[in-house]
Amino acid sequence: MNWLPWRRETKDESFLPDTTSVTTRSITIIGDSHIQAIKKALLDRTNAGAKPRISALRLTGKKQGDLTFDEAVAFAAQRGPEDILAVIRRGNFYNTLALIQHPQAFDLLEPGADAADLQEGAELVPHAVMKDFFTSTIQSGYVKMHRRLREASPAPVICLEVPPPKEDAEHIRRSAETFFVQNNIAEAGVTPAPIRLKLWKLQQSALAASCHELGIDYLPSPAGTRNERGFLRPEFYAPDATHANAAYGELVLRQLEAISRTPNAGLATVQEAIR
Amino acid sequence: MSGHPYRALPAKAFWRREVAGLAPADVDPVGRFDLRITPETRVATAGSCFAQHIARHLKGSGFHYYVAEAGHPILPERIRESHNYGTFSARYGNVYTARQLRQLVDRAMGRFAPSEPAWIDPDGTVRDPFRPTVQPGNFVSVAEMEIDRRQHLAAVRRMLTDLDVFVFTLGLTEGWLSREDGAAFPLCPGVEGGTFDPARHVFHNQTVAEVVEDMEAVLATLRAVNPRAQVCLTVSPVPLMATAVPGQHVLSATTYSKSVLRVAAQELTDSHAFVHYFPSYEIITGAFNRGRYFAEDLRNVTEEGVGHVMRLFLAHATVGEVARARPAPPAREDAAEHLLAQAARFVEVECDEVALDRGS
Repeated sequence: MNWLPWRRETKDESFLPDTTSVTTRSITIIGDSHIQAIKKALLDRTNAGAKPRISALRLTGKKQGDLTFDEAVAFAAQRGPEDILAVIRRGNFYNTLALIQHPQAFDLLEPGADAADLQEGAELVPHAVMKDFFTSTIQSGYVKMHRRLREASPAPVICLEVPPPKEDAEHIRRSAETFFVQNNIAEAGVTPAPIRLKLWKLQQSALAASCHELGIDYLPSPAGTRNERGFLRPEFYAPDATHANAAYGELVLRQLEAISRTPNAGLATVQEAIR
Repeated sequence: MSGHPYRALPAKAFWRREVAGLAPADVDPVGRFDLRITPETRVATAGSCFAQHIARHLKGSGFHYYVAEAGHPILPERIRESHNYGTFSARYGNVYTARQLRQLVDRAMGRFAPSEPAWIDPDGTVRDPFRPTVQPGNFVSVAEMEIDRRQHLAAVRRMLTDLDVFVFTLGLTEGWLSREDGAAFPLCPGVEGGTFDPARHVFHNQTVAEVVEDMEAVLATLRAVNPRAQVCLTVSPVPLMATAVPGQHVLSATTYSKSVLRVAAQELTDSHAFVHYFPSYEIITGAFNRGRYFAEDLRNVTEEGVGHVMRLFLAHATVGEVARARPAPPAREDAAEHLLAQAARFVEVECDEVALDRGS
């Protein structure tokens, strides 16, 4: 039965929810490219014989996707208050900005950081300036979408943190997506990892702050997925420059399942579930 | 009938013909003004709030408004603008006094390092005492402020070396200095960051001689590093927000301050062929416009007044070149943003001197 009238024809059926478990809380995750890790994890579960009660829906991009954002809003409106709706969107903004080394090298200093940590010869961009840039971008882009979902959905909305950056520049150069290849990452090089990590933190803190204002819970990336310097551990790398793999997606699924087992998915519950 | 010198004078020498007898928009008080700019001339600006208008109009008229500290290109222009990149040719904020300008130049050339430490706000963020409002949200640490300051002073050096014309608007004679080394603050410590300490900070109201001496030092340095540089001086018509002269009324203090600056500007112009005076002060404050070039607060200048100044500036400085200059096309805005931008332009330029009057 095609219970999603707007469903796209796709080979990947992992977004299909388990309609037999109507008495349990359903979990739906919508997003763009970073949702692939979750979809793959769900597919792995399905291939292993499980029947997940979680659905993952990719928003329509140029080439692929399950539903448009308007359809996602309509879908959200059909959730019950006991369900969970998670969102993972636009996590690569910081990468499109600065995965490729800018010809005019730049760096920023985090609060409490030592000046010696700056990349030699790089122009300082004051932290407040870059923070403002990310905040205004989040405000103009993500917030409108999140607000629409939040207002439409009777279910609590959870915003998922996107995976942190990869430290391995050689992996990035070797596996870069078409966008970065076309923009000449081979010659320009990769922005030093510490700078990309600072930008990721700014992006995510701006997103978390916006979520807080909207009453949306913000779920940090799963424990154990980052190395001691804060980067994505290599065992969670997807074979590209920016995304995580199914193993990472599986940990996100477990986070959400832990949350769904609690009676109310409020912020405190979320925090408790991920400990 | 015997002749006398006034018979041979041009019409602009006579009040009745060239001031009282003309429609306000037709009054042109520009005297001798030899400065010439082309669309290729790199024009740098500094000074008080009024200099921001000159920068904005130059940019909008297609002339080369030279910005030596533009902010990193990874940032969109709207973000850089909101963090005061491009407000002036470098991110020095308002430079109100000749002493401030002299010290800015000296600091850029490595000849002066003020002892005033960084100002720490109650939330732990950090301000540069010599441009305390230039970074919205402040700096995250003293280290960040010091690195940004080094970049800034390098940009000032670059600006002095590379500019063709330096437009400086003299704003104030009153200012606050460090008792320790005479460092001049743009704002009284404690107004926008810092803590006022009478044992460390002292008020000073400059005389004509002091303004001339400070500006002579600036001109000497500028011409030493850039012998072709031309200088255009203006006096800001914006009255003082407040005076710190004991017992003085702000209106009288304003008259003193502007008079000193106007005389100093004339002395400098008379002394150097490369220094030119443009009478924006006279255009805005002249009785011929019956006060219409001031906004309701009697301080801020209306867009009509700024337009009069810039129309004459471009007419006199860019003879035959205005048509060649191509104004940049306006950025696309939606209707709401356009409306807001229009309102903002009438004409509340960023002027941190307003902080003096806060809460009174």
